[in-house]
Amino acid sequence: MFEDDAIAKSRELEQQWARLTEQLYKDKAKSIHGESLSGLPLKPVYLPHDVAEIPFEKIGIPGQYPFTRGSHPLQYQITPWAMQPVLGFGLPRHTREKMASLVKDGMVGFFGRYAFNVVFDNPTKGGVDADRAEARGHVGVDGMHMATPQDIEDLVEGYDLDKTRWVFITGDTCLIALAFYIVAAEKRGVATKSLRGNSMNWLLKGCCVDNPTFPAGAAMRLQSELIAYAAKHMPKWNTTNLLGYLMNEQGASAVQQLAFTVAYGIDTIQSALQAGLKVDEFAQGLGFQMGVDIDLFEGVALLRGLRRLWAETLKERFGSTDPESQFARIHVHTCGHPLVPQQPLNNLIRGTLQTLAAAMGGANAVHTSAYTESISIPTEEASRLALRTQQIILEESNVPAVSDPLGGSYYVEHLTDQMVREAKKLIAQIDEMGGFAKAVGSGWIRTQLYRGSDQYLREVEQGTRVKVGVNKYVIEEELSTDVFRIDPAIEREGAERVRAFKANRDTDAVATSLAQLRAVLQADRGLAAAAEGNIMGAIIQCARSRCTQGEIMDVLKEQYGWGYFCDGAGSEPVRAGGCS
Amino acid sequence: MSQPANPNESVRVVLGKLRLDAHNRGFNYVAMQLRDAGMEVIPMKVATTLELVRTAVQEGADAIGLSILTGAHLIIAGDLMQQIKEAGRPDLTVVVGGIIPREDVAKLEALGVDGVFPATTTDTKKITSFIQEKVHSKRAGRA
Repeated sequence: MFEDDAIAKSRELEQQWARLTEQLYKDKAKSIHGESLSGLPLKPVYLPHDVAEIPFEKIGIPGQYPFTRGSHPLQYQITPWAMQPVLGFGLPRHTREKMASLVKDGMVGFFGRYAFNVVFDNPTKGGVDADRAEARGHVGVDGMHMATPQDIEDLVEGYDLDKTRWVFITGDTCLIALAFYIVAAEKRGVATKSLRGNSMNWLLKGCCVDNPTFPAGAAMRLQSELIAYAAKHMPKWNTTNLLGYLMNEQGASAVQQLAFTVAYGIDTIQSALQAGLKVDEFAQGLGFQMGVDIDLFEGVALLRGLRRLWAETLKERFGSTDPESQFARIHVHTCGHPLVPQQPLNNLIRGTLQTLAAAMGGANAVHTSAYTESISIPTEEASRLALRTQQIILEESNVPAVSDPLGGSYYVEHLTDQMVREAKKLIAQIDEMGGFAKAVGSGWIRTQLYRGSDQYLREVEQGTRVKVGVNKYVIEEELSTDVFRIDPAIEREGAERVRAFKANRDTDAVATSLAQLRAVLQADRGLAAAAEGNIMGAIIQCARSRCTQGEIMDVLKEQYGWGYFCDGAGSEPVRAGGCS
Repeated sequence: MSQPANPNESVRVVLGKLRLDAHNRGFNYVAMQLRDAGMEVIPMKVATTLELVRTAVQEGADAIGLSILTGAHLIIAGDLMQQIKEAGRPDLTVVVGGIIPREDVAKLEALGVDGVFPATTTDTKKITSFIQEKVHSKRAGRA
């Protein structure tokens, strides 16, 4: 990046600096071994020659390949990041109240439009309707409960469906939630092709979540089905959130998160190609959900490095020619695990640092975790403060005035490049294992995450990693009582809603649609058939016939298997409870 | 029969987490700490409370540890204690960990839970030594 004489001058300066430190600090200087949160070695200071090896065009300009400096030529100056706090609890009416209060507090999506990032409760994510015994204690607790198409119809009631963006955070119930939404729109005369929003489609969550799920092969099959369906019928729909965030929460370092998420993306593309799609027909519908941890500069480098690595992967590995497919669309979820229940207001400061990293890294959308994250889902005050964190950075701090404000910093450029290089090594390792889904199926990914989590928690317990309020600057206190509690009556009401819904439908139509779905799954030819849309078509028909999500999931579970996948257990499902 | 060198070697704990609760970091960490303290841990990450009780009975366990971070601890612990009673193993030591607000600790204890370890528990030795002492004192009481 520099002329030879500039590099020589820079090295000379470093020698001067080394002499200075030796004079002043003697041997103390030698004992400094800085490292990033991921464990990357850091120098105490960076100079021009540290970035000399990086070709200038790898840094480039915002809005141009490889997009290191941002997805668009103008960034927040023209399109502020979308404020996308995760919201949802109870039943549709409770969630709608939360939506209204956040809108009132200034939550906006792109171009001033409504955008709602709705999370569903764990029964919904696992295919359990509120009227079933297993749902006990969990209905509406950490997300909205969705059992029926009616629940989605009620949720979106009154909003302009061709202008409002909906994100459905649904776990394994992803295709069903989309089908419910398509049918809700149909009932209101809104064409499927005009719907905008986001499916999570992270069905391959067996890599990091310790609850039952589909086996890796089935996850990739269903994921490709949704991608192919949207490529054909829903041009404005973002199909997939490649989920780095959850891996970080489970123990992945930023480098691992970068590598694993891109590896996941590579497998996602390869699966869709097997279905006969062309890369530029669907890649613009893939997005990223990245977790930003507490290391500020590593957070920035993660996002910059991801844009570069993804663009290079699309162009060099998959031959994409459309820039729209090549830039990573990044939603940042500030990580919850660095937040602690001790002295909980300190979490506001942690959230500010994490959100600042997202802003300086050029995130396209941001969720800031509320300061009560480690205690309960947000209280009204906590979710407002999380939103205010974003608004203050966006509208008071002047950070958004300049795109990629840390671009050109010797340190940040070096760190970005360092992370990309390290991530490429891990991706090559995963390639050798046969790809990400295989690395998940074999338990390798999970093992990496466990080790990371265990090491971190040991360091905190032993005090070698400082956690303010936990192992340093501790005060006498009791765990806060200001928690958000769900009224137990919600669970009874939820179950009652399902029963009332079931009493008012054509049971023959329900049975026929479920039988049809079963037949489609039994006759399925695997990934190659994903573009035919038979599974999605059958699920949409189930939604039209008023099946519940639990009933539809039962058919999918019966066909694919459903369980917990032990470390090293390959892709064979182990029934829930049988193995831990 | 000779006494094992580490008294914990004979302590068998069924460590459980409900299927619908995805939070696993604390669970995994505590499982490792109990193991490192010499106990035998039977980890059940995707269980129902009834499965935990049945496993504890079948395996002749001394204790059940339950991790709950969903806020449903009062309902779930209530179910667990009822099922333990029905299984005829009231001697089981029961500990609950997770996000437990201050005022719920006494409520859990009133349900019969022996020990409650909120997320602010930074010294996991408190958990291991609690289980150890409780199990050994219950055994002594029976002997």
